[in-house]
Amino acid sequence: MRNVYHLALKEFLHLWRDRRTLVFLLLMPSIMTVLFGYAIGNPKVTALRTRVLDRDGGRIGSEYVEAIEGSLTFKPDVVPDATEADVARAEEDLRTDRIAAFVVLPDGLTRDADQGRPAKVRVVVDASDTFAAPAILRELASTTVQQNSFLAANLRVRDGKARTTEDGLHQVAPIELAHELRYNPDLKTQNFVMPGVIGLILQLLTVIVMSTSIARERERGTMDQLAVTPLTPAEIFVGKLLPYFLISLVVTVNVMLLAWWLFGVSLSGHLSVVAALVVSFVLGSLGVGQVISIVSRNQSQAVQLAVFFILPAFVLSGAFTPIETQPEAVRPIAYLFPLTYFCRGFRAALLRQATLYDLRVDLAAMGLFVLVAFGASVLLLRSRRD
Amino acid sequence: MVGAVLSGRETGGADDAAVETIGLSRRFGDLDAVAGLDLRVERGQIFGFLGPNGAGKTTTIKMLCGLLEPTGGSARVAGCDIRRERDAIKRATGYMAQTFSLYPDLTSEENFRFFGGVYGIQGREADRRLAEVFSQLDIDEIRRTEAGALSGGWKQRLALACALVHSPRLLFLDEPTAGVDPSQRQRMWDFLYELCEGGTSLFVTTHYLDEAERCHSVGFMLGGRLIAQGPPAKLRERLRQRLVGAEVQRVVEATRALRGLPGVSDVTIHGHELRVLFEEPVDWEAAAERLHQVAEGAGAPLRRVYPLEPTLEDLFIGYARGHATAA
Repeated sequence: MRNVYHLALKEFLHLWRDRRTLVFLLLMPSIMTVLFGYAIGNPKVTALRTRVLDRDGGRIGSEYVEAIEGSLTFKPDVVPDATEADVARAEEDLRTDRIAAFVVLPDGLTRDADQGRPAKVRVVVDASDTFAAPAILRELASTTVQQNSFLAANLRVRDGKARTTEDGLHQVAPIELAHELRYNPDLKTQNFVMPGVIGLILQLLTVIVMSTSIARERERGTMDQLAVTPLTPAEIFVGKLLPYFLISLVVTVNVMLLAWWLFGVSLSGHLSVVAALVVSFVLGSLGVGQVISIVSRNQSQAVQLAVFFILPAFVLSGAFTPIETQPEAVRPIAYLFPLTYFCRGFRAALLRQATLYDLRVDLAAMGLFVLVAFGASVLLLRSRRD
Repeated sequence: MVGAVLSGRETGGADDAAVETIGLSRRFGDLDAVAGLDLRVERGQIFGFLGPNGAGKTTTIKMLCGLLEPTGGSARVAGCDIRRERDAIKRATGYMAQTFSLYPDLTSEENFRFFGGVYGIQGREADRRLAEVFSQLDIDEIRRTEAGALSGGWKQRLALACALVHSPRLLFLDEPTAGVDPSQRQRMWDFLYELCEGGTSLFVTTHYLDEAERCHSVGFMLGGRLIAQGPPAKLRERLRQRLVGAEVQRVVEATRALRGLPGVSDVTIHGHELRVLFEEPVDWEAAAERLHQVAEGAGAPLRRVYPLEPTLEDLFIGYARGHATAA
């Protein structure tokens, strides 16, 4: 084990000499945390430019206008007493992307609705933005449901079936949705995204840095020089791994503190669980980096292979979007990447205070991954000599 | 581990060779890189391992150092079996690779201390060894220079220092003087003799035949086979009376003409001198007459003809061209 210490010390010396890489290793995670925290952290769509063409001019028309103006989703631009020409212009503005949607409140909307006759509020949405379009529809649908309930209640009051509008509302819409949001009551998206960001950073750091490290030894011919020493393949493996493992731990703590400070991400998980997740994930990823570096001939090949592993992991692992949003056929692939288990486990640990027992499946999967990666790289290093 | 080293030392009797191989072979797919190598290197000697590129020299060294598994035969290095006592061999031998293979971003001292560390040499012992080896190789002044910033000669000496960190009894050097200027080569050889005098056995591959002449013993590889081995003087003996020199102005014409002469195995040009190798020992005065005749006929008269002392170069050029007979 003394030998391992000397190797690890040498790796630190390399890093110390290569200040640029060292600074990159230490700063990149913080920058990414800030970037992703703000960028992916808030996928809620707000302030969509929406034209409201009020041809009704009555009570219901203005209630729609009020609802739209009161919602953060919209940045409305209301045209009172709109004409057919205004509708045509809105159509043109939608095409040229000057507005994201327009709403037509038809002439006689209030009159028809009050008398219980069918009426149509028309909304035209630019659906090329797949995030914005559903948000607009959701918002207007809920306003419409509300208006319908009020109208129905008022009709009952008029017919003498209810004493007050409130009474009428209870009669026409008796079901209330009593909702309780658990574990992330403010629906803070950062709470979902930050574990993914931490996973991503650790994955990048470990796989790329590790995979180039052994490839570099081979490129420089120093691998042979190491091989003639009494160092065993396992010692070389551990010695190279140790420094990057320690750096990964430092980076993790750094990123978590930053996420807590900037985005108020919960840090209330059990320390043992967080530690178990981080350690097993980092070891597994370092193992992958090691395997990549052993099978590649030089550094650039190692980087290519590393990207080839990392990219699908990012997309499929559910780091930023829930795995459940992916097609059934693709989902099993996600379970080949330790990042999947890490993100799932990390979220559970931070938000739900999951215990080691709760996460036994994820931890076992990552542990298995570590064993496979370690075993493979030691075997590969050994076979290189034959 | 220590026990293995010691016992290796103790069982190594007087006639125990530094390197001894029996039928050592290595195949790469269909290629016999090394085929049935029987080699013996005495202890305390400098052994020169010669041969053209691709002859199997580096493959042999890699097998002897434990970097490569042989596919056939057996070998003992520093008294230890290369298959079963790999660890003992690693502790008893040093290896200096053909290409510079130290860490360019670490200083000379850091490189040395690192390799010392992996051999278990640290603390006071490392300080002592550093002072000793660095002053012996005269590289004290580059202690704090990053290895990547050194020029060729310094690099070679630093590489040698690192290969010596654990005081190996046997040192493998793969082309230690490749790409180094003549005065640095001279210096390197002075160090090698010093080491040898100190009791280290040296196994050196080289392209330079003048360097081969300095070895106690040489082996010549060709196509994965050892075709000759022995002390340089003894090998040169094979060409005795088979080599005749001729001075001529028009070397190209003369060479063409003399090569066609029956009994002549090869002609090489050295400035205005032709070195004519005969297939059998000849009486040079009798041969001179024929040479003059043929050259004259080709319009390239010889100025004079004289007997030549053969060099290793003559021998190995002959081997490489298939003109010299292996014995």
